[in-house]
Amino acid sequence: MPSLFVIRGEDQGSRFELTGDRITLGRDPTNTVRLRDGEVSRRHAEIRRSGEEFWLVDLGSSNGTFVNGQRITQHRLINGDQIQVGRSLLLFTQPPEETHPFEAEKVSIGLPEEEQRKSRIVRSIRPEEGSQIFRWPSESPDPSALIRAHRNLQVMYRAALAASLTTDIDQLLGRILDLIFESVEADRGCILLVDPDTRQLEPKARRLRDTSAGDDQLIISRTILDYVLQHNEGVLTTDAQQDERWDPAASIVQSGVREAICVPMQGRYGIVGVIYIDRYTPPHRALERAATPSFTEDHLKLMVALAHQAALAVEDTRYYSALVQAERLAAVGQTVATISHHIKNILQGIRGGSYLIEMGLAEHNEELIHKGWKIVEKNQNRISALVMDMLTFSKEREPELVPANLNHVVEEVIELMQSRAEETGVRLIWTPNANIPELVFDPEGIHRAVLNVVTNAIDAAAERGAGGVVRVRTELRETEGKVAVIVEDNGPGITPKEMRALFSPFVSSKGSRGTGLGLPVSQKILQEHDGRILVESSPGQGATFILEWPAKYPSEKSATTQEDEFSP
Amino acid sequence: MEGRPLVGELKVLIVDPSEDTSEVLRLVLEKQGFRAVVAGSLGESTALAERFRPDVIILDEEVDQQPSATCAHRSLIHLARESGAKILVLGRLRLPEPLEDGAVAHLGKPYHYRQLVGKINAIVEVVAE
Repeated sequence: MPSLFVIRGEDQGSRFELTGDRITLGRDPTNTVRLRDGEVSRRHAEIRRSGEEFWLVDLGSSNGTFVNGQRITQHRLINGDQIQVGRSLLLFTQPPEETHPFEAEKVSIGLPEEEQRKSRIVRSIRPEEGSQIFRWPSESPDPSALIRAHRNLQVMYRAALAASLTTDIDQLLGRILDLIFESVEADRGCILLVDPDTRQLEPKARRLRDTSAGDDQLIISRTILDYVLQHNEGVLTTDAQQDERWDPAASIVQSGVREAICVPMQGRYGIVGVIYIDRYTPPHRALERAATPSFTEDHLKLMVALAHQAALAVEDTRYYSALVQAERLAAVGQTVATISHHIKNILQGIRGGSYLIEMGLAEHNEELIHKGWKIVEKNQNRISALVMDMLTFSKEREPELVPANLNHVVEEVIELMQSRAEETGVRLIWTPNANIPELVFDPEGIHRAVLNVVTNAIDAAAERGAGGVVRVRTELRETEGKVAVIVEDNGPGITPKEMRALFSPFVSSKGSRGTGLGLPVSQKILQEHDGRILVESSPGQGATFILEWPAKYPSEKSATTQEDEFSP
Repeated sequence: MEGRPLVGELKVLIVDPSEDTSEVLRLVLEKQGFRAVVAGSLGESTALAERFRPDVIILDEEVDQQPSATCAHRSLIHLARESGAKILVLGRLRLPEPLEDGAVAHLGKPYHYRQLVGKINAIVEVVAE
């Protein structure tokens, strides 16, 4: 969402999202962007949206509207523009939107024999000379030099801003070309990056100032590119020969002049690409402007500085992408390994149970068959629980909120877990709160969340041996407007180290018996209910898990539903 | 079903954290004529190994993941060396190269119980010789 961020003035720190086709700025409270600045007119300026473009229009304000230090009456805003109204300074930001697909074939590198009119280099500079764009002569201070330095600084600031707003290289390069086109009167421009694998230059972005003027091929001289890459220098070139400006028979008279700037994108560890811009002057203008070339040394220096900034951003973006990719792969690898491990153990259990059944069938031993079947069944449940936990954990889902009885849901969990508690010698004590009315929640989700916590509690209490106890109760906390399920066990408790990783997926203190998904899944379900899980424990003292979430009553649910139904 | 081992009542110590697996193993081995005891942890296994003096130890490598288990693991290896017990390790799919300290055989999970019995019989033959 495009926005205005107040970076100076009474409203400093305020952000205004630019929704709608007209956004007004002014002191009057009726403005979309109201500024408490005495030097701002009541209705000072207006931002008009036209498709994807935003235009700032001054509404005849007393003190004027300025963009990047220039007074404007009308201006097309681009990302990073600084708007000054009164004493307030606002930053316009527009997140990069989908750009038109870039056609790489529209940019090519000309072979030397195809370069019919050879360009010659009229000036070249080293990357370090790019920093001279901020200097001005100390002896005879020239105000225009100071203004230029100030403008250059703004361009560099906006380039840095563009780099910070995106991690997409294509978008970044598009922004850099936009900035160049604002600062330098180029007709065409493109950025070529060195492919890290092939070491060849690949066209990555292209801009034409006048898109209606034809979609011709942009051919860049191989000779110039080679020079730029080999010497690591930015160059200013022209295809006009030294003396032909004065020669009526020369090609300049017939074909005009094409001037170009080509600069290396010098990164920290080498050249990552080149930026090329050019400008064509038709024959009649070329003769008129013979003494004033389109591109100057200042342009060249600015381009060198911008290219360096862009190169650093490209490098950063590449490293960041590589890092994200590596982390993703590592996470995927770890997840696959952990899940495979659990499935392997479950499969081992099923094989064991099946083997007992096979033995029982061969020996007509019903007891063995029964034992084997119990093991198979238990492992079927384990794989089913694992799949359900994985699905719940991995999917972004909305809870299915329906009126339900919380005590019934928890009671089902207790019934389900009773046999496991008995098997492990744990007393499972259930105390429902009779005052809990019907509430609106996702019964299946809460069932799963409570089941996971109770399962853990039984496993923990079982470590006590015969004295293991798990107490489960429900509570309605009317003053807080919350409902809770509390699960207490008298197991070994949770160490501070375990506590830190309690809700991390695939981390289990139960070794091969746990998947490490139970608590993260329960937490996710509670979060879906705007609730949370609180844990109280100290080693040797057992643990208490409190699953609490806002109590919603069926009347609230129906009211919301009706509202939704009747809203336009 | 597989044939009986070549020697009379050989003793097998099963060290496995999974109750299901250790129960199946125990039943299968007893059907084969072995005497089998089960330990759910390495700590438990050392006490049992001292008392029971097994000929074969079936050790699931996931048995303990606590740091304290390293000490118990060393004790078990030491006891196995002293008594001449052979260790069969159950665990990773790929055979570790070389075999873990004290181990004479390895079987990757998920294994089939016929494979396991075959491995144990092969170990038993060596013990008998």
